[in-house]
Amino acid sequence: MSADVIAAQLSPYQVEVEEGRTYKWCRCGRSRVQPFCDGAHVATGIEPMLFVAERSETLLLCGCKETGNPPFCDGTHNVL
Amino acid sequence: MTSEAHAYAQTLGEEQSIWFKISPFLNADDPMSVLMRLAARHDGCIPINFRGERIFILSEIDHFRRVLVDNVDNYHKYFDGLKPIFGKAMITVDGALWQKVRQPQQSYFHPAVYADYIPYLMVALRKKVDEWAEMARRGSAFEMLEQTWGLAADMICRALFDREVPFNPHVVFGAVKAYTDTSNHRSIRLKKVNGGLSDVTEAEPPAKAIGAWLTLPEAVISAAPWQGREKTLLNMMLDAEQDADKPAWDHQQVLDEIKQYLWAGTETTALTLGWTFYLLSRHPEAAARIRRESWEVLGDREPTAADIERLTFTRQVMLEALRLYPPAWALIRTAVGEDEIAGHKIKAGDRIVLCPYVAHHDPKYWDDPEVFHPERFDPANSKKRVKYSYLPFGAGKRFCLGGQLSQIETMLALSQLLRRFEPEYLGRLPPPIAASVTLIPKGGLQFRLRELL
Repeated sequence: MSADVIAAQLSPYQVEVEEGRTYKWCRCGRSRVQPFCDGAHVATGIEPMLFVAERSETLLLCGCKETGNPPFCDGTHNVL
Repeated sequence: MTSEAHAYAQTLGEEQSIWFKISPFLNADDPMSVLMRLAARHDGCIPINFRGERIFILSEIDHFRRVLVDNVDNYHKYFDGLKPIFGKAMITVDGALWQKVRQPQQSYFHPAVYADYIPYLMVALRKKVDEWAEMARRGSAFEMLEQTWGLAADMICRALFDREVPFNPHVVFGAVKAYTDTSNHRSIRLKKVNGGLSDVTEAEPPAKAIGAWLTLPEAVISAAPWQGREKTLLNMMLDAEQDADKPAWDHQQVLDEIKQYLWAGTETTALTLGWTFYLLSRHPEAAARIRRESWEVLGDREPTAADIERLTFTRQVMLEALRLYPPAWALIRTAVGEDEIAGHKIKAGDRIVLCPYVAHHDPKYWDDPEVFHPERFDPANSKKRVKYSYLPFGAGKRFCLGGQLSQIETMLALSQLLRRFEPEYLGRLPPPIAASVTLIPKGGLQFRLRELL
């Protein structure tokens, strides 16, 4: 059985990404290198999400891990 | 009135806000019931043709998701009728300019920074407690929204700008209401003279109101710093204006951002508090529970961020008030390309009105939606909530940046004010609603205070 997702912070992470690079967004909330995965999900049954940056830009990645549009922030942290 | 104010006043009503276009049916005595009935009859998509302009009023969560998340780039913000008030502030713009203006502001709306803001919010609250003690002694009736607007403005000025409110909140509240309470800006700019229409003169109230409004940002900038803090949102913006690498940040941008915080960042909080005080006046048992929670969690200590997280019932009441009376009852967009929603072909230029209010009152998502029941926001129930059925702060990448700060302001205010006072609502039951840019009580919210000893 999967453990619960936990909120890393009730706010997005503003990060710079590079076009073409692959990123691992932490989905379980336990990573200590938010918003990215550091392997802390082992034994939670929750896997990180891989995504490739479509262009070099600044992104708001979800910090509460409850977004309806992973890995991006969709404002859900405002109503948790 | 400055020439800038005069120029702004001249454009009022040239571009009508969508709110004013749909006002014929929203000006009904009970506009939200009309809206709910129409939404039900049209399966959540009300198509309107207004002099060749197509407007779609949407209220199903699939529509919200399509417009705000999945196909967000096809729907731009539509604020034309409010340009005289907000200019090109972050809330009104899209694309690259929005990115450039939004990014540097993000770090001033972060949980770590909110913890630093709490003592500043408390200064504003203690001032309000003293004022309320005097008002309770007088025992006379007063307008609650004027009180909560003044409080919200004081909190914002101290926390974000490091300023004491450098204007008379009473005067500015009057100016703001000149815009929020009217359903047609053209009618406040033009008056009937000898059977024809003529611009109001500079000496008349609407022109004076916008003149007062436009002086505020410079008043904030030129006021003496309150504590002399270096890292504030205001200083960041003023530095950006001097930075040749940030051409988006010209002086007008800084002025417009300040206007946005003094209106969008205060009026919504003021309304949330006003509606919550109304609900609590009708539900004294909930007010008593907030009072108990305040003493148990905070005691006589200076509140911390961790304390605010423990104000769990206070938070449930606030969220329930935001469900029943969402200040941002409708979110307006304009389509930039084709799409299809609810079987309707959407064309470029079509106006889209999303109505969180309707979803908030939909029995599909809420048991007894018209009943005040804060426990529905018990954290144990929050995971059961249907995604995008509760949107008091919007959703998608344009979610409200100040949503959490506003919640902290509201919870602190409820907790600190209710432990000392019992606000009694004196107006009509239920308070008639006006569906303006925000969801406002038609004619305000009259209250009287009793001090608890």
